[in-house]
Amino acid sequence: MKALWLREVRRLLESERFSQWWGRLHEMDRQRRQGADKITELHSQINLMAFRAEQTQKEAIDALYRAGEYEDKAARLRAEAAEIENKSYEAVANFENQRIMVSDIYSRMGAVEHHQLSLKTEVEKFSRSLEQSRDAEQRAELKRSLKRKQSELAKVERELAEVSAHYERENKRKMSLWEEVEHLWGRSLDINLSVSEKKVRSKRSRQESERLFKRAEDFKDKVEQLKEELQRAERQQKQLLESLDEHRSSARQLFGCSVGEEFLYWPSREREKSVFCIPLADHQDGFNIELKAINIYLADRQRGVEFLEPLPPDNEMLSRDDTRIDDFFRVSREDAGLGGVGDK
Amino acid sequence: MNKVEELQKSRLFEGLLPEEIEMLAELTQQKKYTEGEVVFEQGDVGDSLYLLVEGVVEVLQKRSDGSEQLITELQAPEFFGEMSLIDKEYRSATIRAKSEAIMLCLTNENLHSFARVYKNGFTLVVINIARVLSARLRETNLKLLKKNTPGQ
Repeated sequence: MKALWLREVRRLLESERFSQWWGRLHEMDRQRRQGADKITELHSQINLMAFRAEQTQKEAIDALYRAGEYEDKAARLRAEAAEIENKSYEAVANFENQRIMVSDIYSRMGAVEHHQLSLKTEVEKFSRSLEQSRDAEQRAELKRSLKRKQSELAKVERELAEVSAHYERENKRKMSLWEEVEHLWGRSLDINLSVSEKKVRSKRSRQESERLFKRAEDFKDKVEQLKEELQRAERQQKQLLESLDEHRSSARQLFGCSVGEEFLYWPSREREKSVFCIPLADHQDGFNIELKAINIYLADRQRGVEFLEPLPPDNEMLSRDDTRIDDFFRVSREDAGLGGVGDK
Repeated sequence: MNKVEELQKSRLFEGLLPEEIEMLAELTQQKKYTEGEVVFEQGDVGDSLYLLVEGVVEVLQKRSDGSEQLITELQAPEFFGEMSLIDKEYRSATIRAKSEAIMLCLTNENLHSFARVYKNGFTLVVINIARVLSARLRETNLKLLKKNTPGQ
């Protein structure tokens, strides 16, 4: 590799040939960055879709499990409803028997009441006859009859009280049995309505589960599509990187330089131990100075880019008269405005 | 940020020629610090000086019990860290950003590159550093004198 003068490097960098090479490299590097961004984006999308597929499938399984739970609850409630229905038949039968019994007691109570009324009428009749009668024998007979009837009336009144109490008791029991029948019918209605609700919810959960399973499958399909797209992008990126390497390496043939991954190098003719370094991209960090692409920097041949220096100025600039240090020593204390505690 | 303009504002680079300032601009690196971030710790090996471009920093020194004492606060266009460049000793204080801060950092090695190219420019930088150190020393002497003078 031939060492170059700085002016030669400058001329080369300004040449049309280098400009074309650099333009192509720059464009390929832009495509590389774009490709890398696309690959990163695809990886993110794949991970996101895979996560969504997994999450959606989990939700679908949960929905299916819920559908099963609703079905189980509906079945349990149906069994309970059947049991309640059987109980209600029994309760209706009990009520019917009670109703017949109460009806009999009521009839009996009516008969006793009728008998009581007849006896009362007879007692009144004997009492009036006794008041009107003047015949002693007849009065004695009437008194006996009245006493007998009064005794019979008292007995019937006791019987009526007993029958009435019996009626009250049994009628109350009849009402209680009816309440039980109504309670059972009410519960049966509640449970039947609840069964239908559970059946509908089970159906809805099953539909939801099917919808979610389909959605999870769509996500999985999308993952597969993205993976294919990623493989294509990675293949393209690999080809691009190979082309980029090839193009960068072509600088060796085209410009007679040494080619690094991020720099081009030419040995310096001005300074035997130095090389001219040309960064192929801007670098804010990572080097001892901030670097700009296609600017010329100097490096020691041994240390390379571990320590870079900007180009020194042209010789003419250095050779001009510089009296600043002399001025510093020439200037008086007063003019310098210096002076302190120890100087006074 | 225009590094050349920022360097021109600093008394550290007073008297330098435009081409010297330009080379120094190439040799400095821009650094950003968030509030509370430590630029360097007392006792660190010092290999660079810093020129404040934006923000405020605190200069802190450790007491014998380990607690920190605020010595002073610095703001643009002041500089710090120059003492370690001169005496090659460890950092004498901790510098912590009091607000978001932007600085230009010049390493010892990069200053050496400057010195190889611009010997007079480098001498002026050293003179400027010496002026600042000298002014600080005089200020300290005055304080000590006042403290030790009866009736003061």
